[in-house]
Amino acid sequence: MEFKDYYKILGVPPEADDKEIKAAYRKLARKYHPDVNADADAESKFKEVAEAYKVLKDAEKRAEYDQLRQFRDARGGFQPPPGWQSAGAASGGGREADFSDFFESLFGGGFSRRGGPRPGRDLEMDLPLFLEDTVADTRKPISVHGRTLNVTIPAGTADNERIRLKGKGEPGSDGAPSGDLYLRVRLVPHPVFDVEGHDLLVTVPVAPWEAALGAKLQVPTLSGRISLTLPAGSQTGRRLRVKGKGLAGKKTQGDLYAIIKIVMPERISDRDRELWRALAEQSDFDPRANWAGDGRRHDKEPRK
Amino acid sequence: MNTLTLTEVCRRVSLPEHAVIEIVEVGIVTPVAGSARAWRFDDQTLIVLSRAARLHEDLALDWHGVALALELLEEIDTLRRENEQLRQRLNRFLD
Repeated sequence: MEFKDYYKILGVPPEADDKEIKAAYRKLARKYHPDVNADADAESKFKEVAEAYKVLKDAEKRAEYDQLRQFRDARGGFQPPPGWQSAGAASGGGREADFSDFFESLFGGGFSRRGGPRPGRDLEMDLPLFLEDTVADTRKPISVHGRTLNVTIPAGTADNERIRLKGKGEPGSDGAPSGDLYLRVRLVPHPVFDVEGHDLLVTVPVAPWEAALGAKLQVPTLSGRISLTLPAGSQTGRRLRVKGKGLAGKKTQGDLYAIIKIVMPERISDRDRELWRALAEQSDFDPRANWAGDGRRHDKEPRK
Repeated sequence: MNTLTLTEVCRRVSLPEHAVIEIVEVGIVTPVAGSARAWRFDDQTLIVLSRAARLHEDLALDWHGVALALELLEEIDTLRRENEQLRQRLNRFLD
């Protein structure tokens, strides 16, 4: 069995007093608490810290632990001495699932809750969802504690929404009811669309002459491509609204916005260069006429 | 929508009544209807209460501290996601 060095886990010396131990625990608990820290390994780290504190804050347990510490071997292994029995281990207590085998072998059921039926805890987990899955009712397999549940995601489910699955949380003990499972919807970033509330945004690259002269654009939506008219003289960042092509909401239907992005060709042919040059010579357009960066004073109000 | 009484809520999250009353008083959860002992809670309340109870117990925070922690955590989550989304949108313009 692996020996758990509770002092090392809390980062305190073996002669630390109660105050130091408490302070070390609080600091680590704030850092690794699974409600505070979403990292994958935070929860196991927190459990380790909580287990260490549970033993070291209790004078009797700590004395027993200190005594047993002498039986650890050089390779980090450990075997309790023959006939070892914790003074605090009550008979008939159930196993506390959150603690390590090491803890259980030392203190047995001593810290476990008293017997009798206990309802299961409610659980919460993130549910990554593709935008496409929100268009119509979708069934998704979800794996919880080794079980696979087939969950129906209703059309129009939004980011951050919680879906409650009654009785699918932690099982209760001795016939007590199970807790519930809450799935928190997290929309997965999409390769094409961005989300703003219920609206969808799609960035559409256009050639400078398309922006200048206007064009017909083929634009993707969640339900196939549509044709859009780009008005002449469109700037980068211009939004073209397509009503009703956003995400479905419970009450409202979002819109789709095509956002114009003017792009230059990566390579310019000799012929193109001649055309640009002709334009440059004849155009009186000054893109920096109202630009604060040219060092001239401008009387315009600063942009808010 | 299913609603729960104060007694049902206390049983589900293993908290004494006075604790839930204090949690309501500091504004961590809000009953959907009723007053004092006739409160009704929606079922989304349970997950917030469980989280609050864990923070109270594990980090030795009083309920005001828990309320502040929950608000800030929620805000961090919102800002982090908003930041991710804006970064993604920005990259579409820069790429």
